[in-house]
Amino acid sequence: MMSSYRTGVPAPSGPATVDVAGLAMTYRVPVRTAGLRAAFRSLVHREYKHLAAVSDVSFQIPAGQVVGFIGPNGAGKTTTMKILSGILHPTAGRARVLGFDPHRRHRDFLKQIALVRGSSPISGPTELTVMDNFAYRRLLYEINEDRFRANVAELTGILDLGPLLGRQLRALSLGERMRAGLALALVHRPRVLFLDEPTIGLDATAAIAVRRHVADYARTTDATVMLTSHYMTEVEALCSRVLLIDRGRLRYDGSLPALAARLSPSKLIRVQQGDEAAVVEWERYGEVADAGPDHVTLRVPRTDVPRVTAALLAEVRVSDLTVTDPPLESVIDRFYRVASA
Amino acid sequence: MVRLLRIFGILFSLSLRRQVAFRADLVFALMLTAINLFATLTALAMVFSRTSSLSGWSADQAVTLVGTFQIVSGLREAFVEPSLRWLGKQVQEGEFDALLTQPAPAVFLTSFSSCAPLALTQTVLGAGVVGYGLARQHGMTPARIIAWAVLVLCGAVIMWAVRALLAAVVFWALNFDLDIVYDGLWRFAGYPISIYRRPLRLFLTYVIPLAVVSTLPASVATRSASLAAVPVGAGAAVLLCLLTVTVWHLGVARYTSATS
Amino acid sequence: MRTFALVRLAIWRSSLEQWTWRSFLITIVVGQAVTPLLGLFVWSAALPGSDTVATYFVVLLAVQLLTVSFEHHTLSNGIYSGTLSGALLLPQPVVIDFIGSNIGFRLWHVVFGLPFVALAAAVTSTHVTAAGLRLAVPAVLLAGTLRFVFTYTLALSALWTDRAHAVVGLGETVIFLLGGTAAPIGLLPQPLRSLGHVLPFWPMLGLPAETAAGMLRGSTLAAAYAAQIGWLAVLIALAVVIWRRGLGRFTAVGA
Repeated sequence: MMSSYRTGVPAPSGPATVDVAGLAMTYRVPVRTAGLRAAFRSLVHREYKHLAAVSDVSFQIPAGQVVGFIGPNGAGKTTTMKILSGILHPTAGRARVLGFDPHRRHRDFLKQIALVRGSSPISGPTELTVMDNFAYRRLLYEINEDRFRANVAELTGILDLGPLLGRQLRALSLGERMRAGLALALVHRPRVLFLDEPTIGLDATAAIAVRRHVADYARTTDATVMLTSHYMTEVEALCSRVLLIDRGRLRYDGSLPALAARLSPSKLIRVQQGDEAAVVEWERYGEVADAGPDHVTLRVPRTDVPRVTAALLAEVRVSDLTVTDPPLESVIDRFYRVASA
Repeated sequence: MVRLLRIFGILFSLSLRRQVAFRADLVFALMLTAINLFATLTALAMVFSRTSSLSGWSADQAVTLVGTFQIVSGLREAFVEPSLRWLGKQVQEGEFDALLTQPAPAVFLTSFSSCAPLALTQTVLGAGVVGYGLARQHGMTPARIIAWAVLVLCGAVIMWAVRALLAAVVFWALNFDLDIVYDGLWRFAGYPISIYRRPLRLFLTYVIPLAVVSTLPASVATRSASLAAVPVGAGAAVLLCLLTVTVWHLGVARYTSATS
Repeated sequence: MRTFALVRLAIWRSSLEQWTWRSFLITIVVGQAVTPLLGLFVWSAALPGSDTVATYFVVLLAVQLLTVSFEHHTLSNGIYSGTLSGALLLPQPVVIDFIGSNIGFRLWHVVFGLPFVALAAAVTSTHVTAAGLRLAVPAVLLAGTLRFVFTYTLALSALWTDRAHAVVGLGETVIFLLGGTAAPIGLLPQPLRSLGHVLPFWPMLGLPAETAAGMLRGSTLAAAYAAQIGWLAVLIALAVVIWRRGLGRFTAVGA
């Protein structure tokens, strides 16, 4: 398995926004065995099992970085995010965000962070309008009147909230709720933004709008963004760095392309024959991954790609040749399945 | 503290504006409240058609008590129930987590983030009933009316504190939903507590002091109970508040160290 | 007969499903016990010497648990959430599932509510005779059916309005006032007393309670049974009419 070390990411300068060392979260779960006698015994003597959701996780995140937490379900990435946002208290190790211990939930800390959950981006009474919620957040986060007005105008423009401002929450679709929820979370200009599966259930247009604005926000305000997602295209588009957490441990910390390259040591070469009649021994060039009436896809080790491509172009009548990485989703999926086996 | 009041104020005014936007809803709420109040008063009239004294309370005194109970019930339905109801489900679906990341005390956000201003129709009608009951009393003094008002306020605070306390059970036993139990217990405060047997009476006075909600203010207003009841009621309210805030603090601490 | 088999199956399934959320169910039972208990306290305080009043309310508590009806939660919510569409596709009358859940609820109410009844009976030293109980059995069965049909019909209002819960709530309020919970019908002042005897609400609740408490016997009891049967016929006819109308609207307009 992989050990964790940084690859392809510039070293942080200055105090890190997020500083995690030796983080661990262990649950005490009562053991429930079947059978009547066991049930009676448990009444008198409760037995516990220790479940380590997170063990010995350490990393640092500088300001302005967008980091993706990826990993199989139940691996511990949501637990890590909850610890960093103050919702959970770790059983061991140390976590510091913006210099604060998140668990203490200091008001000055909470006023600088925001959490948006893709499954329910806005909570609260549903008969209030979007503008009502903005007014509420202004008081809750104690935002100065002028800055508030400027922020609302800017967010309305960028996320296209114009027609939504006067609508009640219960009349919004999921995509509209997500855009409004994101705007509400950003109106107080948080320095740290936690996104939990932000584009789940959204159509392509809405998802792209959300991703674009998150990237813009991080770039223009130097905010640190942490997001969990199962959509690799999203992680690829937004995150310059990923943390792969599997079974509670940090397996990889670095850039996504480098991870893909390491997990999948081969590339795919798709060849379209110019002369269909000619018979070619494809196996000489590489493993045949897929063959159709007029095309062939070969799986070739990364290091061999230049040589094989040159050979194909020289020896075969080729009308089209493409070199691609295997789809990221299937690479990560294979990793998850292998890891859980 | 002031900040919290302002936040509460804006939520209330916004909800009020939105909920009364549909006149049909307001009319319907009024109608429903009127019908329920009518039913309660009719039931009381049925009792007083057979006796002139219900455990020492006359018809007018009982009416004042019912009105007082309605006032606090309205406050409960308008401000406390909408938010605290189904706290267990909110916790299970992760909405409570979102509240924990907001810069205000969890107990405040969970208790007051939703309100149903239309339920205040109960309070308004209840005040009317109290007015009627008090008008038929002899020997009303401004001091007694003020004492009544203060005790009603204390009763409202106790109502919230007990409700929040029962809701906090969720932090120790996730599946335990005591919403409906409180609904039932609450209805016991709609009658003078002297009608209950001794154990229940003591329970409603010293353990879950719902007696302060209606019996105490009505006694002070109509039965010449001693005005010393006011500091007693206020003391009970303050103590319960402290208990509730402490229990919530412990509950949130427990929640943040052991969820899945 | 196939219908009986389907009903038995529905009761079995509902009971099992309800058992899985028994801790919540217990709180519902507690809530249902409150109103009769309050009646007991109030009337025992109003008429301190009377033994019959105490007996009546303890029996009323048992009858309440045996005739409880939650169709505004099962049927109305099913209409609102669209589950009714699924039920319409099954090869069985829609009402069977609701009969099943209704009887399931009553079963658990008796199981979990029995301690309350026993406690109340012990504390107030109630007396019931075996004869009274025997005579009360058909009365309770008829009352339970009446109350189910009544609540079911009211819950069908969900096909027309989104305030079905309020409609059923109104029905419950009327049962409270004229069915014998606010006051035993016999203790009501005159115009109300005759009204109560004539309307179908007393047969739903107060009638079986009075029978079990031994307050009704002989020819008045026979007349009471007749009233129950008569009202049952009327309410069932009404329910069928409203169901047909509502179904037509539902399938034409959609959920």
